[in-house]
Amino acid sequence: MKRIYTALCGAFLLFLLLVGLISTFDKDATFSESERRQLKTRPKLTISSLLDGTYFIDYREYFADTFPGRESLMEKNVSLNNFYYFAGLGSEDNASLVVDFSSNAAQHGEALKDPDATTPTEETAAPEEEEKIPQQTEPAGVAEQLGSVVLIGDSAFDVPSAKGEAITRYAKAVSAIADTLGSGVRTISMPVPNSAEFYTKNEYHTGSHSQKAMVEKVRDNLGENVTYVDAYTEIAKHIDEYIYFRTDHHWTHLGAYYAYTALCETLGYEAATLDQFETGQWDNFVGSMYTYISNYPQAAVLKNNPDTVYYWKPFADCTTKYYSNTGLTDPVTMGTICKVREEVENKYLTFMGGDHPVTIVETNTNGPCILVIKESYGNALISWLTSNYSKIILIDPREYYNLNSDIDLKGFCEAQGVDQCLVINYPMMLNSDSYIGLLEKLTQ
Amino acid sequence: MEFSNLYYLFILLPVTMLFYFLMPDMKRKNIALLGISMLFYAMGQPLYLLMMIGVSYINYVLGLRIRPGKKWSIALPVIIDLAVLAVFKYLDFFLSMIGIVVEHGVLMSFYCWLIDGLNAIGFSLKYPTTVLPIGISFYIFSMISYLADVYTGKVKIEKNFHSVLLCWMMYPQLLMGPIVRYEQVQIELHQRKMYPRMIFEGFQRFTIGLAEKVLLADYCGLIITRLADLGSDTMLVGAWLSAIMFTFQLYFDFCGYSNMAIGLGMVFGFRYCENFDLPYTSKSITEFWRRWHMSLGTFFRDYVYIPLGGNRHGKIRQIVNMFAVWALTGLWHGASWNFVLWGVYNFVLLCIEKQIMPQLEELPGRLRNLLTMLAVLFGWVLFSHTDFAELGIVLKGMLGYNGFSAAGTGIVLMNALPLIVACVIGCTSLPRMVGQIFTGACGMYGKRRRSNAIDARKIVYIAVKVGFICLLLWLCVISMIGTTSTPSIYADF
Repeated sequence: MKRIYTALCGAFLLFLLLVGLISTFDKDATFSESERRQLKTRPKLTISSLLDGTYFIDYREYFADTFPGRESLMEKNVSLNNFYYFAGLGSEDNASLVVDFSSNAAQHGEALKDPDATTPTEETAAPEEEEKIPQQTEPAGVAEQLGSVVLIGDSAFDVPSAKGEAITRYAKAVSAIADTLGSGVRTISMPVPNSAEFYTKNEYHTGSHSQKAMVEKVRDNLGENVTYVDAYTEIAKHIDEYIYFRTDHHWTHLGAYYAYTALCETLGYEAATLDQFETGQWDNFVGSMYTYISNYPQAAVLKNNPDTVYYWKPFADCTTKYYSNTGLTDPVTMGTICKVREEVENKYLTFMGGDHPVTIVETNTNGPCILVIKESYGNALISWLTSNYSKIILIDPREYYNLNSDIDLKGFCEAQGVDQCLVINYPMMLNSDSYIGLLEKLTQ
Repeated sequence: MEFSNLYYLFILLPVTMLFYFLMPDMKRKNIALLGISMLFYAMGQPLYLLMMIGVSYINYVLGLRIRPGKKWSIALPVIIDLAVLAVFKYLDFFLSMIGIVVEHGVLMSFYCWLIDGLNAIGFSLKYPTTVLPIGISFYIFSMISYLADVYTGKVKIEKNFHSVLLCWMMYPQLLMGPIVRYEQVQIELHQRKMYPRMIFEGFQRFTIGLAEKVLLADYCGLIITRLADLGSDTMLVGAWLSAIMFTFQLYFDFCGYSNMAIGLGMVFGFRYCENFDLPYTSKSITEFWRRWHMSLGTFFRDYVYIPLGGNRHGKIRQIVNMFAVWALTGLWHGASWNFVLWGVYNFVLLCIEKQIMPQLEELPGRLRNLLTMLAVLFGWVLFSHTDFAELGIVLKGMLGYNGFSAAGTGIVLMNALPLIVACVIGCTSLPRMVGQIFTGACGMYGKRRRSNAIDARKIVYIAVKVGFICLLLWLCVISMIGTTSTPSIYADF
């Protein structure tokens, strides 16, 4: 018996050691297909990281991220979640799941990461300079609890929860932007709802989850020098149309169009009609909500029922450039509507190629210049704006402050000849302390 | 450094074991184990390692001067130990009692200032997330128990510093106990028998503990988070579900860690005391506290309650002594009034229970268990909310004042059903009974278990055990691959 126990102990030890050695010396994976994220890289050993204890924390995460056969084990993990996230005994259509919505889809931007993945589709948007690889950005700030992802049937929703006085703080931050820019620039606030407001059971969009209450609270707390656009009412009129994706947390291009018409109505502009645009579509889009819950067995229903991206190409001649630096040098030319390759699963990147620190769209339209302060919801709006504006400047505060640089907003607007400033956000951002902090930083 | 992560399981554990087993004799094995433990500590908080060695040395030196029965000889080291605990764990709490509140805490502010200074001269240190030294509550109590045992003559003074240091620093129990007393490991420190069966069973125990932590406790924690995100944890259904899940989480988290520590101790040739004995099967609060965190309970009994006179000086004195023990038990868990409240709550329960025990014993066993668990669950609600305003809202929610249920609570409940069933089973004696029946069926009790003869039933017994360990390890790895390591709740104490 002693020999058997000795052999067993030896075998256990050897097995653990062998796996550990393989994991240490094998070639590290850098990207997880199943989670659609960059994996951790081996941390650098420094005296500081040793002394503050972060080296081994980072190494532990790196080790877990590059564990041999991780992708295959992740598949097993989904099977294991059949137990922990019991879907009931009904059919796939009855799939239901609630998970917390901490950061991933909402907190940081995404951009096309392969230069071949995008080619400008607008004839006038010929590349002026060689395209460069946009950098995949890291999450900005610490993850915070913003709400819940709820999967019901074949649709996933991010249900926001009103969080203390966050919305009041948000409205004040927008008002502060108006104060900073002064009367020479018209500041506009357009908070927009997401799909949970219109397509879920009553309990997910009432009380603390009511997005109507959220946008109205923004309206009520804005300063007098801010123009409020009621996009909510306009969008609500069209809920029987395909205005939100089921597998992604964004609105569709059509959803953004109705917000655009609300904006035009408020500002007294004539909105372009849909039949003025050339249309196209990308099929088989399984978006961020799938990514977010892909580790749960219920997510299969999303993968099996993908969305379609329908887009409307601007009729105005546009030149679109984005900048990954604060000095607005080294521009990369893109389209406002980008062609995304089939294997690029985040097809919402169709719009403006995703999130960049600064993007400037110049058009041949005779109109004013508008600065759009936005997160990814704003991207689908821009191509519509080309019908009425000569110049559209986008700033994504999450990406901008990733460059570790401050901005003189007033000086920037003067230099660019900005006439209007639109702040557009969806409810997760209205309740996000970190995002609101970035808005506040714009005027500090 | 926690045990429930892949890096520990596949790098640190096998490398340290190999290093340890390659040492030819006990003296070198002890030095190796001490070195490993120091390294383990330094991986989390390198600077506090020096402090721990320093405090240990003071205890060792002053321990040498203790004269049994001479109070002055034990007073100084005990005061030093309590002062260390007070500074690192309770300073802000005590200051707040006299109205001094320092934003972020005194020590944290000091560290931030220090780090800013060091960063100004070329370092790039990050601010710490906690200033509490790892395992301080556990190792300070181990040191005090050594001093007290020397004072009462229970153990002989240890002349070798590295022996006492090893007792206090041994990494399996350093982070979260059990609180190991010197008397329990004194002999094993110098001459312990290490045999393959014990190492194998140590592996098994470690794996069971890992599974409790990774496969049960962590998932219970996720449900609590989901309920909080929904705003459901303050409404009737969600508040109760959240409290029930926390009750499971705390048990499997802490018991799981204790099992891992005990298992690792066995791998290195030590037999630590048990820390849990199916506490949720208790039929009274008194019984519960005999089964929950046993090493802490016996510490307070032996070093506080009995020295204060126990029940030897009349009822009033006994009640005062009990109050002192429970207030301290509460305070030991954290520098916050809710822990004191929780301690006093247990004291009141025990006092009431003592008065009505005869009537309680007439009730059916299952009902008594249910009543006990209700009282325990309510205690954990007090325990889990350091913010009294938040606690008030949750308690109102449990009574139905904040509405019945929030959106999505039903889905969370349905998603969690199998886990809840697994947790209920895991808390009962059923798994233990199955193990005992299987062991009995294989005839593996008594001498036969220890004999070296091989037969078919023994082979089946071992094969099933190996299969069981492999299955649990496999499930743990699959689970850990999808999540980052979740810190144990008791690691904050």
